Amino acid sequence: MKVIAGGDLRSRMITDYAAADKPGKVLLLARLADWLTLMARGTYDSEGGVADPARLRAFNEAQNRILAQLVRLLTGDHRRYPDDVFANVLVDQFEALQLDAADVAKLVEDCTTQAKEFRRSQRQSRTSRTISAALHRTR
Amino acid sequence: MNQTERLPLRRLHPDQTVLSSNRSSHNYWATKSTEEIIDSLAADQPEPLMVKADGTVMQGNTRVMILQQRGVKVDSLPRVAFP
Repeated sequence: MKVIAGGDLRSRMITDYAAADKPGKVLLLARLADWLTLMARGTYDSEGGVADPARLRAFNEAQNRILAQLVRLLTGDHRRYPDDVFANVLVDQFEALQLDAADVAKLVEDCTTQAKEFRRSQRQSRTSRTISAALHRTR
Repeated sequence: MNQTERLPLRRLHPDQTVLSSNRSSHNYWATKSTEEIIDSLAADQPEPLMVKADGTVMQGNTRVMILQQRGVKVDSLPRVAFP
């Protein structure tokens, strides 16, 4: 794994995270947490134990922060980190884990695309419902 | 007062860990007043001070560290027992 190039990803994460709407943020945090559980499996040994406990611990710390923010977001709790602060918290965790900047950037990009598709499909559903209702009224 | 409340707090994360892998969180809380930090650790808050029976801080490490740096007697803060 390459050590993350802090500056670029940090500024991009702050921009992208702040720009995302609520579903976009929820998707990003959920996917990040899911991805980190997968990456954490790299700390296991082949006998049901853990080969790198310090790294596994760092993964758990990262997931703790991500999931706590996700819960606050889903419950509308304003006692959460502001977006810019939390984007920095995320990058701190990625740096501590020495995750590949390209992998993180790709995940963020995928989430941005997925969130856009989600919003587009929601708009289409609303349009379809409006047309159906209008047709129903004219019958 | 139970056993958890009597034992002195022991932070799970050393200063170096907080200042490196959690520095943005530290910087954020460092801008808050002592009263705000203490309030955020209360039992009815989303992330209260959670402590194991041996005094290990399981939640609130960064905030406790900042309070200690400000000279607050953190051992007397209300705690939630870690299950």
